[in-house]
Amino acid sequence: MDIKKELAEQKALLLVLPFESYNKLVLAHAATLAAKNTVCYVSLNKTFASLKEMFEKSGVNTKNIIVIDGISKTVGTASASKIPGCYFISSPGALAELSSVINEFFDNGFDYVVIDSLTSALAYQGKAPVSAFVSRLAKQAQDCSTRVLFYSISEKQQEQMDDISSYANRVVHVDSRGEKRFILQKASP
Amino acid sequence: MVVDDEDDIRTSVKTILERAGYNVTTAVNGDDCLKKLKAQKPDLILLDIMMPGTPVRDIVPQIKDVPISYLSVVRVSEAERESLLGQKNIKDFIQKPFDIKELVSKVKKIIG
Repeated sequence: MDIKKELAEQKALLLVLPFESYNKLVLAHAATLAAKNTVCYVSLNKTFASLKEMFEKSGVNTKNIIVIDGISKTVGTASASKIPGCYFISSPGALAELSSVINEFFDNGFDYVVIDSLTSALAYQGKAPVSAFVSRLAKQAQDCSTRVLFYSISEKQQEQMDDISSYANRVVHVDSRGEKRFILQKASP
Repeated sequence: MVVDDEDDIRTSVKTILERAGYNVTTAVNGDDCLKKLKAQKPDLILLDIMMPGTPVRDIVPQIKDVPISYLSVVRVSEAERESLLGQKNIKDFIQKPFDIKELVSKVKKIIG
């Protein structure tokens, strides 16, 4: 699957990935997206320090990526609110705080906003706030050049994700090799 | 004590450890864990990180004299892992998805 092509066709795309190959696939996508474009990468399950290591091992061009780290403060490994290349928010469930930081990247014309992942947000928040978060970002993307890529894990919280996914323009279920299994829902961009 | 908000994880870890000969209790989040610790003192707490309620950074300092092993899908760097393991009662960090033998082996290493 060509991730750039998918995002060229849809402003708000949700990819549903299998747990077994989740990190491998999101890192491959990050490498593709950040090669020549600017990316705001929201991590709700990997600390910035671990993500940095993973990006480097996966050949991701980190010069083009700014991270919003939603997990380090929860674990207790970060105390600052901002360091070069990263903003820290208080919790993966702090969606209002997260939206506020993401707005800066919409305003600054970043090419992509990547949300890794809705599954992690759902561990802290109910379906309604996560739906509102997805809806808000999808609407913002319609009015600017920034594309939004959401991820979720196929084996987790399927019932909630069925409803939340309706707010993305397109939902693509992906197999462990990174190929499309099926498109669950498609709406006009 | 297995502390995890996901029912399937709580059930599976409980079953695995009971088959290995341990008595296992569960809690659905950190707050539930603290509440249950008033009535029982487990030999080990397997603590998820991503749970609703009070964050683990605030739960852990309230747990006295019970070893804790994180059991989480959250990825941390090697340096962060070392730093976490340097805290008083944090004994291990078990990454999900975990291997059953590895889980039992790590529990055995901590509590025998």
